[in-house]
Amino acid sequence: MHALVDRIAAASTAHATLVFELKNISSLSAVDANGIREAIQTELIHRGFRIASTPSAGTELRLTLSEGADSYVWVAEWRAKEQPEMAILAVPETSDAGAIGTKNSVRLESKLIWQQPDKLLDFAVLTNPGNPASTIVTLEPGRVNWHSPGAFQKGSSPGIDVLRKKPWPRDVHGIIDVEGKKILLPEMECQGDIENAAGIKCVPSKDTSFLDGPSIHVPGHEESESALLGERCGRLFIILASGNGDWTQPDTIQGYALANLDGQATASGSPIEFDGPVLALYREGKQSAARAIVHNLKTGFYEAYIVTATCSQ
Amino acid sequence: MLRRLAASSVAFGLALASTTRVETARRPRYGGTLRVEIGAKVSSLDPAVAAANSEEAAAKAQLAALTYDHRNPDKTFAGAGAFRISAWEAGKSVTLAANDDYRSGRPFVDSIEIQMGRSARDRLLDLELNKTDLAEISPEQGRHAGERGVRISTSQPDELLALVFVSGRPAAEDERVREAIARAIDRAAIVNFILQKTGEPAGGILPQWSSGTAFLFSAAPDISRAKELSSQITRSPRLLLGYDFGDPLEHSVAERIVVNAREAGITVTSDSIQRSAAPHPDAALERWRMESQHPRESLANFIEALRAEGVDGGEACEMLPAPATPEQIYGCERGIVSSYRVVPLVWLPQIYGLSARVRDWKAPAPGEAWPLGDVWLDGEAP
Repeated sequence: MHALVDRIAAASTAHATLVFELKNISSLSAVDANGIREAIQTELIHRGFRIASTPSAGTELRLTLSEGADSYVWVAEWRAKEQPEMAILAVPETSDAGAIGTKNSVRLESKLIWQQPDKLLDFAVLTNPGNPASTIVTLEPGRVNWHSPGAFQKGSSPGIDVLRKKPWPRDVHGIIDVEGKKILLPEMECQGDIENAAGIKCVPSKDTSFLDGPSIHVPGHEESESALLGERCGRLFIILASGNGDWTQPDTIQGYALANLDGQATASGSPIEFDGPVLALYREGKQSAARAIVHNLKTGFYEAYIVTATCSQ
Repeated sequence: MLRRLAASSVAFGLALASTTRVETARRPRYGGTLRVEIGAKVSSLDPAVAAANSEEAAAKAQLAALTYDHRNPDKTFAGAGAFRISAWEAGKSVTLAANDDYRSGRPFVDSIEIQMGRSARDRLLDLELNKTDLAEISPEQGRHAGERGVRISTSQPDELLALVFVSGRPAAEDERVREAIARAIDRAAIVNFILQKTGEPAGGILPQWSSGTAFLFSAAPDISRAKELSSQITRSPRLLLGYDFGDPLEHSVAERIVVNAREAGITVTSDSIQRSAAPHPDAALERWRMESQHPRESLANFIEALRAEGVDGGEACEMLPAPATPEQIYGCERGIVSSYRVVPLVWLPQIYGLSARVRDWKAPAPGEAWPLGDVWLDGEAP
């Protein structure tokens, strides 16, 4: 930003009155664009320029926030001494995101791993040494299934029942924790090596902490599904969060960046869309990925996705 | 989505654990033959043998990317790829078999059958009749195909259709002639009517999504300025505009340019051309596909292609550093466009038609190969 204002100042009459117009054709949010507008106006005033709002009151300075494949591109156009001037700057980093708005540096991609007609709570992908296909473990209310490569085609997936004295709640949630070697359901806990169905034992449990939902929230999305990813984007933490609709609507997952866990989260990059509500969102190991369970309203199927966040620094 | 119902939500329903077996679940599965149709006729798979045209060169590059592991810096191919050739009939068909030992994992499909030399009309028909799984669709047919129920995959616009004035042709040496024609062309009409709203009017050498500065180039016609320039030319020349004889899109665009030039007072006739054959045109329609999504690399490739046509990129391009800033890239583009030797017309996307059973296909970005190693087939073979 300073480089841009330097260029404008060097080619303009000192203490000139500028009519500042900003146009955002990039993927930056309106909030970010406004932040940039305010920061640049402040910097221009600091350099001795006057900012007018009436079009005829001064020299028009038009700033376009654009975006290319490699970086954001900011283009300033103005007239100085009756000559058209232009400055084009690449804005690649998020380092001063707090001062000038946040660069959309998180790109999300989703990969469909599994889908089924029955309610799905969570899933795990287990890699098999020497075999390019993976085993998928799926968690349903009261049932864990192991789908080894090819087994699903025959409809003979092995699994275990998780019996509970009371009916499962309608809003049942469950988590497969591969590293922690446990599967959590309301008032039930199964322990053992997830890779080995025979070794899993399920017992009643009073631990319901996982039902409290994610410990971190994006403002305005307090009741959304969200997950703090295991890897950072530079210095920034990355949170994924679903939208604010109900379970009858298509949904999105949006990436958010924040400098510290107590700070303000800012939308980063474009959201990815789904044909139904995101029912659950969990961090996937220590990676920049999350597991998402979606109820596809078009097909009626429950879908399991791995959502990967790529940091474009 | 709202996380869950209120804590007091009533739980009801049967307490029995679900034992439903997953009968219809889907995930990437192995097996099957992917049927592909392309327009090009590849006469030799040897990378060292030059292709007859850009269409064959592009198809050949795709085949090489499937059958070789990587490309060396000297542009030679090396290593065993995801597929190996199991049958080959020059110019007609090629069958590829999955390489079980491919270092990045065996492809999902067992084999790929590629039919070559299929016309655009036949490809579209075969998609509709489910006789093929993947076929290229020409940009002007994309919208029509979608309306007829064909599943469409569209890339970012990454192919430039441009008017290039041939260096050394007397009729095009007066810059005012070139500028008048450039300003007379109605690119929006080309996109809306000929391309059926597929693609984007082009004012610069790179698309907006790559450079971020394409919006600075005007793509709007300026017929009054075109007429003004035309009126300044004492002996208005007659120009011959050439287009690829096998390309119906170029034919239609050439006819549109003839009409637009006439409005400006310049006589242009159009004719299909074959390289190195008479008549020699004063200007020609050229297609140029980006080889990279990065603006600097793409621009460098374009300048190289221009040089082969005898067109100089100008001083700003001669001094284009690597890496280059957006301002330097813009300066080079502006230099090329300002000479009116190259008149960008439209940006075209790559459009693919897919059968319902094709999964995990993603339209490749510039420079990327078709992701046929990742594609899998869902459902029974037709």
